[in-house]
Amino acid sequence: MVLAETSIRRAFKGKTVLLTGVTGFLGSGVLEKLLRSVPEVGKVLVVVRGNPKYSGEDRLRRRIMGAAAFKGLRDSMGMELATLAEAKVEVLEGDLMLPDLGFDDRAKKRLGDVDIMLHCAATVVFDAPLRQALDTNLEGPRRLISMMKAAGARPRLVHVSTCYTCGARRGVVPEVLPGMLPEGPQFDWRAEVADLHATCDHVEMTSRQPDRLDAFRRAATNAIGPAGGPEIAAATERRRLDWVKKELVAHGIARSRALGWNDVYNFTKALAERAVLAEAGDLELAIVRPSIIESAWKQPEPGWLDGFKVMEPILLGYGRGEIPDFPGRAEGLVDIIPVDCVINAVLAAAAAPLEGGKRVFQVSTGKRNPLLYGGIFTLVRDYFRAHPLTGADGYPIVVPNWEFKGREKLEAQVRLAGRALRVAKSLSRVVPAALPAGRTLRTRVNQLDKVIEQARYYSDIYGDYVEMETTFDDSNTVALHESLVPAEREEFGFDISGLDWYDYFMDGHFPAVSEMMEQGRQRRLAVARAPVMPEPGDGAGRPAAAFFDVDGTIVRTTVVHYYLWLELRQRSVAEWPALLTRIAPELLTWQRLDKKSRAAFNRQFYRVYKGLDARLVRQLARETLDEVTLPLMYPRAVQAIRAHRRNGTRVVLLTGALDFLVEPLRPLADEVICARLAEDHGEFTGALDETPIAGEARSAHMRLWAAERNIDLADCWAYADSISDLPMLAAVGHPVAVNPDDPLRAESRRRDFAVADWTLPYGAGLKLPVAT
Amino acid sequence: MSAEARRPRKPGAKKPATKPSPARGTAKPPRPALPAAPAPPKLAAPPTPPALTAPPSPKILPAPVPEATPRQLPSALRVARVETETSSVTAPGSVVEVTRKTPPLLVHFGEGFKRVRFPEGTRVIYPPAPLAGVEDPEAAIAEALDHPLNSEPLNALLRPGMKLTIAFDDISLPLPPMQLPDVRQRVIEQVLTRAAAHGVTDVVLIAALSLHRRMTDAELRRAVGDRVFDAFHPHRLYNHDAEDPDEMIEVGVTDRGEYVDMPKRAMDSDLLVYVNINLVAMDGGHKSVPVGLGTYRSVRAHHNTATLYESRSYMDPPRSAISHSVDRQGRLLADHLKIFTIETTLNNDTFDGPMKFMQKHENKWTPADRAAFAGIQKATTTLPRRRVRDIFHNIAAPYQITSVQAGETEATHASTLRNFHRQHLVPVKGQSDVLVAGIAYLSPYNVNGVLNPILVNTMALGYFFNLYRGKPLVREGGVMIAFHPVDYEWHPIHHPSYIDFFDTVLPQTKDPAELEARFEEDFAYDPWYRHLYRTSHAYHGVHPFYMWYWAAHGMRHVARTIYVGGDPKTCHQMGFMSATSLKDALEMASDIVGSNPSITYLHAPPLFLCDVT
Repeated sequence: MVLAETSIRRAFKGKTVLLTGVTGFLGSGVLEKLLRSVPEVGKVLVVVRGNPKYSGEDRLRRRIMGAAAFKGLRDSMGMELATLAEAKVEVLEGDLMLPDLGFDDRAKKRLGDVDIMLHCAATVVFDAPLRQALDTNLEGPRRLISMMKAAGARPRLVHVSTCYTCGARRGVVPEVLPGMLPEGPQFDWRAEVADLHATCDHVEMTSRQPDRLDAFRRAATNAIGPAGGPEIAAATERRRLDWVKKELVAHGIARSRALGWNDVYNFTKALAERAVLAEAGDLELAIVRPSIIESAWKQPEPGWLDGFKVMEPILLGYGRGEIPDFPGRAEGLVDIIPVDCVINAVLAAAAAPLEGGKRVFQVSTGKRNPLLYGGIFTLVRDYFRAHPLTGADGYPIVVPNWEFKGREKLEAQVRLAGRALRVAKSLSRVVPAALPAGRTLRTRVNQLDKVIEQARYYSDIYGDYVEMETTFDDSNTVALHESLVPAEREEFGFDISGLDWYDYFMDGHFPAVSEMMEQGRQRRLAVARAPVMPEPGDGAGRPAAAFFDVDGTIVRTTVVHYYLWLELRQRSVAEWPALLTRIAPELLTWQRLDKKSRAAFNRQFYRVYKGLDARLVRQLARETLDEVTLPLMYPRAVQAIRAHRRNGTRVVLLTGALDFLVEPLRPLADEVICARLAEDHGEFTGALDETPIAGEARSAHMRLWAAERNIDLADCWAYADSISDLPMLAAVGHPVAVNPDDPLRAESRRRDFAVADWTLPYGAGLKLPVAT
Repeated sequence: MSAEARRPRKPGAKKPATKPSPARGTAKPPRPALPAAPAPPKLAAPPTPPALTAPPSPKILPAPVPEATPRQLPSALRVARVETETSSVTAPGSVVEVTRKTPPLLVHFGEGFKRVRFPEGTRVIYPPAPLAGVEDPEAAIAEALDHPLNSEPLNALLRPGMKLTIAFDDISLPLPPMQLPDVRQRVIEQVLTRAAAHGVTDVVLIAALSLHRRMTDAELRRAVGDRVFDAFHPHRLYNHDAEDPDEMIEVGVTDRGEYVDMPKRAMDSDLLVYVNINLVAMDGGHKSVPVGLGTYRSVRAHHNTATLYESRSYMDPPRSAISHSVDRQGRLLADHLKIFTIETTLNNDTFDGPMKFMQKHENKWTPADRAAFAGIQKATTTLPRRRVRDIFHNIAAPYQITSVQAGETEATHASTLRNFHRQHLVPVKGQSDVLVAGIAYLSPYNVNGVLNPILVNTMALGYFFNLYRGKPLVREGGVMIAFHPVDYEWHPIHHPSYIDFFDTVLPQTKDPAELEARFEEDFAYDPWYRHLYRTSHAYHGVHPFYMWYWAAHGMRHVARTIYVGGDPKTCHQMGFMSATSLKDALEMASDIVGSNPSITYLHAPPLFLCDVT
């Protein structure tokens, strides 16, 4: 192909450009390039989705003023960048996934002015749910084009796609329009799209079948039952949505593979090309197909990368020593293209004289500057040996030597490990978590689970890519580059034949990835260090409260500990076995009940006090401060309480423990809310005086309590250890999960609760009340 | 004048170099050294417990009289070089120089030991050999009560219908706890016997624990004996409570603004008898009552950094600002309350049985000593930590009473100090660059507990550093090297505020004066720590601060403190360094004291007091 002269600056001069995907990697690069190198451009309309926190406009401003892509511009222009952006960039708030893109009338009208459309938005997730992939990748550009046409515009269209729309095939793939490749299934893409939408609807409806809903609810109850009704309902719905998502992923992958694509991303992009082609009608259309887009070669700066892309998880997994071998062949081809080459190619394709035609440009390296898997591995290994990552233990990680054993062998290993893991998992369910052995086993199983899951994921997602033996013809792209006016070749060049892979990786890409990794680590550390104690002067001037659960949070005990201690204390050692034999079966019942509902457990458990002499028990309970409570009290809990009280925050102990056991803790707090046993003629009846305050009753109680005192729960803190306390934690602005049980730990991670792992000082511990 | 111990005359034994000296302000003629007090009647059958309502009758009180066994004297010691000075008041301690032939020396290391080879030329200070105790402790006590110093005899102070309060030293004395019967029991029983004989029925006993933790029932029982405990506990034998708002009252303020607070019970009493044990030179005297029965406010008058920086050392009352301060409080109190002080001194016979090797020179260890050392050493490294702790805290010292004196506080204490010095004083010439000490398992503040990191520092730079009269054993700007594991380990009941102090205060500042100004009151007035002090067995919330102040002078005096075997993190948090061996520690100190420093090793416990000239 021979093109007449292409001048980007001339083509964009005074033009109105519509740009999508500006919050993504490629899109933000394109916007940066336009602002930096094409000052002649008239106006850049960008489609940005707002979110509950930030409007589209805010998101764009934050991006320009904060993202690494614009760092060079910020440094050289300072505040002028904001002025420039103000003048050149206009936000159309909208969402490509919505039927009319969520545009208002002004935005819709504005579409009529568009001269050039650069469509960079996509869901670049290989295992995206089908609905999302369809809506973003296919429906988005289709709607955009039709709405522009409806508004009276006749723009040049540049649709960014991917080389891999060709599906899984070997050999050289030519730069031909979609549907023109010789082999492969013949299908009506419109019917296919309609069917895919129908599939999505079907999955959605299936998830609402009674038996499914029951299963979701049962699973939610099992996981977080003690957290109470509203939380269970929320978890049930979450599970349903998760299930829908998983099903859509599965359906997407299955259908993609059935029709010859590796994954739903490539499949929907391939469908999108057909849709865009059809929608374009007689408009000029350039389809730009990059291969795997990676960090920048030269601009805006070498190594610029915006979040982890396709290759980084593997690189980092390797750097962290997590991937002992890779399911690929050493001689496999990795087709990587630096992002700045793609940006320039997109701009050039928008400027190229297409003479009313439609063209495909494949932007890749495999044909003219191939990079093999074995080669990249050597580079990675050398790099991480010279610059090792830091492990969780603070020591540098030694990276393994990959042997490229092949995918089959590796997958067999993973399967075997998975089987061993299943056995260990069922074992860990039998051993109670309260025992040290149970805890260790659980931790180990969880660790192993993660490793295997990871290996499976890498193998699933990336396996096809590294086994691929495809090269992409890039004659059109070369011609496009040749057509650039000489004055713009340096500034807008994308000739990859001059790319030195060693320099690219060693000086640009790896250092950037390492740095991002380190930043990520610091961020995670910062999250782990989310304050579990208030700073001096926190909440000054505003009334606040700190709610503390007692058992398991301030003291490493349960209500059962105290009861057992009281019983043992009254008996000689010789009588202990009889007592323990009597109680042992109850323990199992209690454990089962506690998994379901804390309130039910409390009610059932406190029956053991039936018939006990109230006066005697109360008298013995006084000894529990020294004998049970203090030896098992977390010093950090006391420090946290003291820190709150110094700040003038009211400390409230909110516990299901009995009044006479909590009594000695009263001076620790401003207020104590606890349970009380009913008495009859000096004996406990085994019933509680009032309904136990557990689960969602706690948050309800807290809300009322705070409202009465004119306190805003958003200023309040809560400390608790068990999933049954979830509502209590969720109700306040500063929740702290203290030594959380497994379900609460999972919820804390999901909801960004601070997690405190408090320990007893060495030397602490319980002694049995052996009578002397 | 005191009832001084009579040392059994043995061939080869030195003549005791003590001389009765006239007590201050006493106009009485000198009395014979041993009173001709009638021997207490002995009972054939075990005593029956007395009725709960009345104090024990004299007929059933007297305790069995233990034998006073003659003890081996230090002449048998063969050491490389012994510097002994014939002093009018001391038994010879030994200062030994390490030579090529010196065996590795025993160094205390928390709940365990090390044997360490010291560089040649190291000066090792061993405790003086134990003096013999009085032959008949009961008689010595009786003599002291009958012929008190600067006071009427006790009997003359007792009358029917009076209110009598007996206060006594708490669990922090003596260290380790002594084998039974405790000297407190002996003295209290005699006082009670006399009180009963004089028709005194309103008697209360108070453990004068100041801001220390409350003693447990078992500990009280051990201190006062079964009969007293059963008769008086819990309503008329109890722990002092410095935070009792209904009981504590202000007695007055000294001309330096020092508050004197006392329990109502004591101030309402016609007579307060104080029963003391003197183990180190800062014990006793006016410190007993105003401090032991005081409040945070009154203790704060002298337990502060300004006073403690000016106490050089605590063990040298004339040069101790804290001693001057309590004297002012005591004199003010004496104007309002009749106090009859009974003070006792003990010898330093601290370990017996298999533990005896701890107070012997290493080159005098017998095969049995070696075996005992090896066995205990093995046990400390293999048994569970709790068991090891139990073994150590079950050690009871075979202390013997070397003197009993009674009467007016100041006169009594002057006599006590003379008798104390007789046992404990070791003359030492000159300071050294480096002071080495092994920190054992015990301090006054962790009996039956844990020697936590703060207390380790208190022992090293508070107590051991202060075991001097004249000038410190280590030169200013020198280095302290202590042996202790310094584990992050705490007694959850005894020391809750310590953990808080270590975790939250020390990371912000280690400067005693600064942390006093910024944090002390927050801990002292904290409702939770106050609650634990009053109802559980916790030291007062302010106590860790006092422990830090206690070492303030030492921390300022030395340029560096290094813990051999210390946990690096814990040491660092306190501003100290840790080393793996003495050699490493000396290497780490070499930028300050050079590569060939003069070294003094304090071979303690047993404790002693160095007279550094």
